[in-house]
Amino acid sequence: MATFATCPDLHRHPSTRFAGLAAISFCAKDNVDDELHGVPPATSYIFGQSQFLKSLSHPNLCEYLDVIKGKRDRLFVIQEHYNNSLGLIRSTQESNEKERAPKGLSQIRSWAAQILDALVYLNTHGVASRTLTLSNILLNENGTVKLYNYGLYNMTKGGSLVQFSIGDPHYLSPNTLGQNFTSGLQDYSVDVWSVGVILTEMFLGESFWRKDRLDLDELIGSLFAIRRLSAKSKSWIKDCPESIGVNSVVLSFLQTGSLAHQEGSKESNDDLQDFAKFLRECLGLGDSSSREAVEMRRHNFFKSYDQERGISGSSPEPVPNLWHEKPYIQSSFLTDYEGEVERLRMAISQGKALAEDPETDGQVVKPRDILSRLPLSQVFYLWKLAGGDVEAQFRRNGRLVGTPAIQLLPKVVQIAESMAGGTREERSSVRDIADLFSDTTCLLPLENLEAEILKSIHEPNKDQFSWDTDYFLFSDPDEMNFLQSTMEDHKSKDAGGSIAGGGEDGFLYPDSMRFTPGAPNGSASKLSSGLMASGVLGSAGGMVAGLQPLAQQPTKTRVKVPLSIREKDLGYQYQRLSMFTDLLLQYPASRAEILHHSKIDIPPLLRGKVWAAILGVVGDYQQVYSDYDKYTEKSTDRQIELDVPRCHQYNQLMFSPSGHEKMKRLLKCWVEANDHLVYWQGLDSCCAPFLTLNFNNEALAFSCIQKFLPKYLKDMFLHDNSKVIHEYLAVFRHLLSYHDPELSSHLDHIRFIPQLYAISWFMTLFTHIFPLDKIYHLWDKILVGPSSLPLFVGIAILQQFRQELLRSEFNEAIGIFSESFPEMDIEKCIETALAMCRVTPPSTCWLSYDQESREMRRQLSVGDGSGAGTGAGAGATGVSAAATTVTNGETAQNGSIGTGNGVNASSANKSSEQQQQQQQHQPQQESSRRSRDLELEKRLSGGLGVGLGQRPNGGSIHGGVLHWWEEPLSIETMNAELAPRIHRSDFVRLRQQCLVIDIRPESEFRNGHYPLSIHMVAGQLELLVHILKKLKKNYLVVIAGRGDSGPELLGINGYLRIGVSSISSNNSNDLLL
Amino acid sequence: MRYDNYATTATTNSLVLRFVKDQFDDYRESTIGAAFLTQTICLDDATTVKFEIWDTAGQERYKARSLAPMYYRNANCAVVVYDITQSSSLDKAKSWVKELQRQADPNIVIALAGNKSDLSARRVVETEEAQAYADEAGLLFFETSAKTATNVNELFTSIAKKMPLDMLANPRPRGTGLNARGVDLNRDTKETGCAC
Repeated sequence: MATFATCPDLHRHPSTRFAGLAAISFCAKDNVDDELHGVPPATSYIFGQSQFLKSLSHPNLCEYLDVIKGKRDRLFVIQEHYNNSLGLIRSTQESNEKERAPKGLSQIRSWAAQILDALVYLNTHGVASRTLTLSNILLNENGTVKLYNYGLYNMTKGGSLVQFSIGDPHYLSPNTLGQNFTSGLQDYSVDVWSVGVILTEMFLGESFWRKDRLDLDELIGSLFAIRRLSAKSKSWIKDCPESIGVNSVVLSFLQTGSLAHQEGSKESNDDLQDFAKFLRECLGLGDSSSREAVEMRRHNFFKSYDQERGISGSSPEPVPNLWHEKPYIQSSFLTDYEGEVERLRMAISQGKALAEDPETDGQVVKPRDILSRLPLSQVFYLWKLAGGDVEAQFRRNGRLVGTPAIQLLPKVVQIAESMAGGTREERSSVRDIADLFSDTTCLLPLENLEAEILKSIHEPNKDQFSWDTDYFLFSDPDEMNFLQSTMEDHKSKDAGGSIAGGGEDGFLYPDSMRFTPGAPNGSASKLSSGLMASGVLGSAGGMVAGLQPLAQQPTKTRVKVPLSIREKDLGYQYQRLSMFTDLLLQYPASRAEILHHSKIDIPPLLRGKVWAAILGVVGDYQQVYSDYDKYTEKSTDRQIELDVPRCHQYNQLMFSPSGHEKMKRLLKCWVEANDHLVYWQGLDSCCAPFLTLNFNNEALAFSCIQKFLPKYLKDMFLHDNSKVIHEYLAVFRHLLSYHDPELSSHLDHIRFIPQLYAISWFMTLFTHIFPLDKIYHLWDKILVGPSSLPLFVGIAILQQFRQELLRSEFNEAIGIFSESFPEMDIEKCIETALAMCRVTPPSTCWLSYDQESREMRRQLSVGDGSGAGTGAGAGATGVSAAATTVTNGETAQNGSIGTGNGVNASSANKSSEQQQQQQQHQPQQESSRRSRDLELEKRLSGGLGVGLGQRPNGGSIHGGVLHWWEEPLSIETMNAELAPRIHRSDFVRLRQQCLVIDIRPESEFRNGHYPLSIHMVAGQLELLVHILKKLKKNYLVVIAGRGDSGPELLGINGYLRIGVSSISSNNSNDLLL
Repeated sequence: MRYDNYATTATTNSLVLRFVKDQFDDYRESTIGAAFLTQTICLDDATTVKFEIWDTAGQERYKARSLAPMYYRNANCAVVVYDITQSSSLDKAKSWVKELQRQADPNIVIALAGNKSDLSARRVVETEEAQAYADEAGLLFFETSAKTATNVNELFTSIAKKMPLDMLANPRPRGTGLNARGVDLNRDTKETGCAC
């Protein structure tokens, strides 16, 4: 099943087609009490709790869209909104005699049923409304009931966190009097009283209470009287004296079930009796559990309503389509916009409401039409991008007239000692009147957004937003790009591997559609720009473009718009949102496209689900999560308790009490689910991004974590992880000297070793050192990149402080990275990291515990022998044979190879068949690239054994047995060496750009060597550095004998690192050869 | 010249923070690996001592034998902290003292600190008991409170005094400046701060 197809936030319910947006605002009360020290501020409680309300979705409820914390902790709650309401109907009734006719009973019945449906839904989710009044029951254009502002009581912990009372006493049950905050939260019967009052008023066109009960004191008196009465008698209504204050018309109807002017009424007597009985039950005050909405909804009164609709019992929730049938992005409805902008502008200038009428001219696309297809959460998000500001809107409407700040200053200045107590008292006594609640709703006008969207559709800024800015495939023709092949391969591998076999892969990537180097570039770019033009929700064309890995041409000239601007551009985000929404609905089938598009960027609003899709979360993750025991006490609990309140506390979600609870549950569940791993401090930080992005969906967050950790932090959380960490750091050090020899040697010199500063970087994948907003962007790339990418991010971080570090001694250096982590330009950091990653032979980043590397190595050993894996991996037959020959031919060449400034060890030699091999080089280069994953990352040492020097068709030699060059190096060896070792498969790809130096003894060199390699005696290297530099090769590979690893070569390395830097850092431009 | 050494946990964190920044924060982010801090104190007109402190991670796991030695290997002094409200924390502290005496520089100055002296109501480790142990093992001993700052500066000052400053003094011209490298091995896994 499509994993996200039922997610309410990806759908627009038809009943919300003409919904507007509105906000209410209030302030939580201050925590003045000293006893409350340690209790989180009320605002943050409300903020956390209200997140849950956002997850509620029912056709008779207005959706909660967002909660925003404004200045001075003022909260703004944004909801779906409609102009029409029962309150409005009542007031027109009152002002207009003609309308006075009471509402028909069938109308009342329908309203009642819908209100109760909504309440039943709320109650099953643990929410009591308490705020039901005429004005909080909105009606959409079809007259469907939409409850509004139903969450205020719940989010304020029964009103205990605010300084105003919640609910209108005219509609509040007498039972609420004196009720304490906590018991009220679960008392669902209270709302049924309100329903009774509301229906009575709507039916009779009279107010429930007598006019004199508009006075609150009187009213409270009446409520108390009713409560006393109901304690004595079974039904207070029967015995209700006039004096109690209920409107006499109302009372008489409730008692008798007949109307004063019954002759004119079209209702049958039975119906009226039924209704009156129903109302009497609503308004009864007896056993509360029998008067909850569920019970009331089963009342006889609704029989005819339910029969009409062919439902028994309460109405089932409409379920959105579980599956979008067609595997393409639908909707290319934006075909013709000529003149549309003009019309829109005219309409706006004439002050006409836009597209109010759904019936008019179906041909013309109205902005409201576009909006009406977007999930409301997206509408609000775009509204903000279009310049909307809720707080400013309130001010514009004159809603936030506060007391001038100067008047709020304490009148008595306290002496420092008693300051804490004193100022707080002062503050609470002079409270800003604007802090109090006003139930006035502030509408958020959509006109500006509509205009902006139309504009962006009409004038897509093609130059500015190039869709082809794909970090990963972007390539300089003069440079090696190791990602180009590996990324594609990973994509297909992942799609095939994690989701039900490889069949899907074939479906999504029929061979004909696969990118081949020779494919005409024109068509692809045309298609992708076609996606722009046809716009918005994409189109079949867009889909095709999506399938084509873009940017096969050098894209050097394209101007790349910074991510920060792209994320704020309305038009761009609109298109991205629409496309990703559609893709997500079709996930997992659409995973490959999601991956592809995610490499460009990920729309922030959908990040949580997109990440889940990238990670390949499938199946019933809710069930998985709920199956784990998250409550039994464990030994790690104490550490978790200790860490959670310290984890990313600047983030409002993480700071809120519900955030703490959720985090604890997540961590406990993780501990339970991974019994071979243990909780290490830092895991909390790693989980934080997933929790904040899926705050209402812990199960999804958990599944993401379960997919994420094995890929990027495998074994980091083993009980004994020191090996893993040390290896990681050793590889990090190699890569640093590979890319920045000067810096690396300086850091070595001052003994600033990675173990002292980088453990927290890699153990938490930077979540411990960066704030979440930066982590989102960083992980956006890490998630779609190779698992070695974090290593390069580490180098990129060091490089941003390169100048400082080079000047620093140990103390200053460590000072830079301890305490508060310095400000970083994350986008620059990502770019640098990717640039390095692109030109780094993957085998140099190989980690013995890393899954990706392990997989490579496994395939490699199989692939070498048989070549069988080739076809499977790359999905391209016909290549495999060629690839095999190349592999074998080349491997025949030589032993292990060191790279960069690096050196390494190996012995094998005996190149046979040089001639033959060279012939093969050219034609097979491209095809062999395709099958690269087969032979990719093996352990660095990988030279070729003598045995492999077989003829091209020589066939299979090894079956899973590790040869000495495939065995992982010991950490000691790695630490002793300064340059990474390269695997032959990478060497093969590099061969045209590298200078090969052979330092084996001359006898061995004579015996056989790599063509064009230069033989040198190790000791000479030093002397020849200047000459080597002049050759301007991008890479330098040193071939050494097996025993020459480690200390012996260290001296040379030390020298090379400095001397050959410009060569090894592969920035030199021209290729000779 | 460098003294290094001084070791701690969650309480250690707060103790170091009090010493270096004169702050106390219940909700400070946890330390992963170790954090490096410095603070300079004046012993007298002629002598200043600069502490370079490795504040080790709070969680016991991070003190795994393979990581911790990196921090205390060259340290001149170590502060081992336990929590007076938890008896197990003193035992752990003892095992750390043992390790330091075995593995670290033989001249290392070790101080034992019983933190959270502000929570006397919840005390389970008696002062006498810890003092007796410290005397026996040849450690400096203080009961401290990071929260109220009690004895924090005293602790570090007396460490500085006990350092063989002559040996450590910088041979270069500016003879008065001394660096002390400390490892803060903190030993108690105790609830940070809250309490009271």
